[in-house]
Amino acid sequence: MPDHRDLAPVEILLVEDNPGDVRLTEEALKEGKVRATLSVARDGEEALAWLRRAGRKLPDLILLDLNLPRKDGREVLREIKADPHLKSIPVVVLTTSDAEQDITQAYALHANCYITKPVDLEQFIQVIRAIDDFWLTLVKLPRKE
Amino acid sequence: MKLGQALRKFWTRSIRHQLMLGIALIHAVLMTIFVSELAHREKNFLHRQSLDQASSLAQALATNSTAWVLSNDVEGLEEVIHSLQRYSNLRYAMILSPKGQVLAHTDRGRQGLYATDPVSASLRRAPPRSAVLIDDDSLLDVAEPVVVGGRLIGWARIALDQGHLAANIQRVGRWGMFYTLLAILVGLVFAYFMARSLTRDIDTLVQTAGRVRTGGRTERVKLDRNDELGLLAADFNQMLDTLTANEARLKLLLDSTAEGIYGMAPDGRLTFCNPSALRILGFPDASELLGKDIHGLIHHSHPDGSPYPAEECKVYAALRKNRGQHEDTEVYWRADGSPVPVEYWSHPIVQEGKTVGAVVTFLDISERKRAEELLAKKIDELTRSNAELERFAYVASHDLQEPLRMVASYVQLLAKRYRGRLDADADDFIHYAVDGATRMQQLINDLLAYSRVGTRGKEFSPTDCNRVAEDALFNLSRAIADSGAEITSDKLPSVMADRGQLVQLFQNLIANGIKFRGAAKPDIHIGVSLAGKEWRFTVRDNGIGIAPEHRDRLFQIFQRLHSREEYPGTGIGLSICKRIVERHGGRIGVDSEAGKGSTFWFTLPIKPPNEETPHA
Repeated sequence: MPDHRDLAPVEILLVEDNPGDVRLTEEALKEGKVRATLSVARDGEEALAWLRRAGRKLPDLILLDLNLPRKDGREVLREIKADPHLKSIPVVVLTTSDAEQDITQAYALHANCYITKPVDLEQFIQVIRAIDDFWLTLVKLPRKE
Repeated sequence: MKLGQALRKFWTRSIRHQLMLGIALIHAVLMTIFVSELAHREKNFLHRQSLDQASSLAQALATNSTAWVLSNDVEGLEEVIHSLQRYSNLRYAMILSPKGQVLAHTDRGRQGLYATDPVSASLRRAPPRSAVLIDDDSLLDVAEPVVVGGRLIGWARIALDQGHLAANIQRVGRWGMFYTLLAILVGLVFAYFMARSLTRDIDTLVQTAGRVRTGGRTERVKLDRNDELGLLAADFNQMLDTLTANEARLKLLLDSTAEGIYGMAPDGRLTFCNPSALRILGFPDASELLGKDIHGLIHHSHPDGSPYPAEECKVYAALRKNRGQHEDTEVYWRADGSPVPVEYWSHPIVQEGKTVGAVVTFLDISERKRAEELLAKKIDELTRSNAELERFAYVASHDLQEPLRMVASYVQLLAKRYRGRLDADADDFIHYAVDGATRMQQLINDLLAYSRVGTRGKEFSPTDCNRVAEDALFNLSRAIADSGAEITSDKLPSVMADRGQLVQLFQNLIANGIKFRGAAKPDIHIGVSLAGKEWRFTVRDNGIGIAPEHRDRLFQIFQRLHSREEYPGTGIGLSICKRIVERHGGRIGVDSEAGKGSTFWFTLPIKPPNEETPHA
C-alpha cells in the first residue's frame, strides 16, 4: 500500500460556508505542516456536485460542517453514505455544535467521526494535525480508483 | 290443611269477631257444664228424697201392719193401706205374705192373688231385710220385711211414682238452657261493646298510620286510655316525633347541601330532587322533573353534542349493574339547553336483594374544569417556554460561539504570527482581546451549564449521599491536594435525587470552601441533621466568610463578590447549586460572617417531591 504522501499532497474536500473558517482551516494546515490540497465547497449542493463531476479524482477525506446554506451537512452526509461511489470516503464532521442530538444524528448517518471545533487556535491546529495523522497516515483505507 | 286455613281465616277476621266468638263459646261451655251438673245434683237429691220417703213409708207400713198380719185381719190391713192413699205420689202399696200372696193392696182387686211377676217372685227367696226392688225413671218400689220375733211373716211394699222426678229434671234443664242463652247473649253484648272500644282505638291507630304514610307528618293518635293500647298510642306518637325529627334533619341536609341529589325509580324516572340539583340544572321547581325519564331530560347527549343512548348511560348503570358508579368527564344539560360539566356518583338502593332505585349525587365542576384547562394551558406555555430555552441554549452553543471562535482564533493567530513584530501596545491589545474572547466563551459555557440543570436533569432515584460526597471529593482531588485541605463528613443519608446533579452540588460547595480560603489550610466539614420533614445538609469551612449584606446576591447568576484577580471565576457555581437544590424541592442558604468562615446549608425532602419530571 503506497503512502499518499510519498506521491502527492493529499486531497481534502472542505465543505464550509464561513470564509473565516475556510481560511482558518487553511492556516491550521499550514501551521500544522500538513501537505494537502484543499478544495472548498460553500454549500451542500456545491459539495455534491463537486463530488459527482464526471472524471473527478475523489478526495482522500471530507471535512464537513453541519450547518450549511441550501443543503445542510446532514443531507450531504446522508447522500454521500448512500452513494456507492462516495460512501467509502472518510467523512469527518467538523462543527461548532456540541449538542447531543447533532452528535447522535451524525453517527446515525454513518459519519466516520465527529469533532467540535475548539475555540482556541492552538487546539484547533492540534485537531487538524490529529485528523491528518489519524485518517491520512495511520488508518488503512481502500485503494481509490 | 285447607280446612285449617279456612278456620284460621274465619277466626282472625277481626278482633271483634274473635272476642265475641270466644266469649260466646266460653259461656256456652261453662253454662252447659254448670247446668248439667245442677240437673245431676237435683236428680240425685230428688231420688234420695223419694228413696227416703219410700223407705220410711215401707217401715211404717211394716210396723203398723205387723199385728194385722199376725192376726190375719185383712180389714185392718186394708185400713192401714188406705191410710197411705193421701200420698199423691204413691203408685201402689201392698202387703205380701212370704209366699207372695197379696194380703192387702191399694188396688183391692188384687187382694188374695199371688204376685207372680219376677220382682215379687225374687222376694220369696230374699233375706228378710229392706230391699229396693224397682228403681227406674218412672217407679221406685221398696220392700220392708214384716218380722215378728225374728220370723218373717210378710213384706210391706211401697211403690212411689218417679215420673215427677224426670219432669223436675227437665224443668231444670229448660231453665238451664235459658240461662245459658242469656249468659251467651249478655256475654256477646259485653264482648261487642268491649271489642268496639278496643277496635275503635286500634282502628284509630291504623288510620293514623295510613295518613302518616301518605304524607300527614303532623298526624298524632289521641287516645285517653291508661291500658296497653294507651301505651301503644303514646309509643306510636313518640316514634312519629322521632321520625319527623329525623326526617326534618335529613331534609335540612338534603336542602342545604351544595351537591345536587336526586332519586330514581328502577325505570329511571325521577322520584325526588333537592334544591341544589334544581339550581345546578336551572329548573325553577321540581314539577318539571318529577316522574320524568331523567336521562332523556338532562343526560341525553355527550359533551360533544352526540346522542348518548340511555342503554349506555352510566347513571343508569347503577340500576343495571347493581353497583355504584362514578364519573367526572360527562355533562348534564340544563333547562336552557346549555351543558354543565359534572362529577356524579350513582348508587343503587337495594332492599331484600332487589334494586328498588338509585340515588345520584352530583357536583357542578365547571370551575374545576376551567382551572384544569387553565392549568393545562399554563403547562403548555411552560413547556413551550422550556422548549424555547432549549433552543436558546442551542443558539448559544452554536451560533454565538461561531463568531466568538472567529474572533478568538484570528486574534490568537495574530498573536502567534506578529507578537514582538509590532509595538508593545499592539501586544497588550492582542492580550486583552484574547482574554476577553476566552472569558466570553467561559460565560457562554457556564450559562449553558446553568440552563441544563433544568433541561438535562435525570429522573430521581435513591441516592446514597456518602457515595455522592466521595465522587465530589474524587473530582476535586487535585485542588484538595494542592491546598492541603482537611475534609470530614458526618454519615450521610440516602435521598431521592438526580445523582449527577447532587455530585455537582457537593462539588461546587466544597470547591468554594477550598477556593475562598483564608490564611489557614482549608478545614471543611460536611454535616447533616434532621429538620422536620427535611434533611438539612451543611458544608462548613474556615475560609474568608461573607459579609451579611452580600448573602442575597450570592446565589444570583454571574454575581461575584471579588475581582477576577483575587478569585477567578464567572460567578456561576452557587446559582447552579441553587437551581439544583430547588429542582429537588429544597432550599439553599448560607450562615456566615466576614472572616469567620461560612456554613452553606441546603435542605432535601426526606420524601421526594411530587415532581413532574422536568423533561420539557
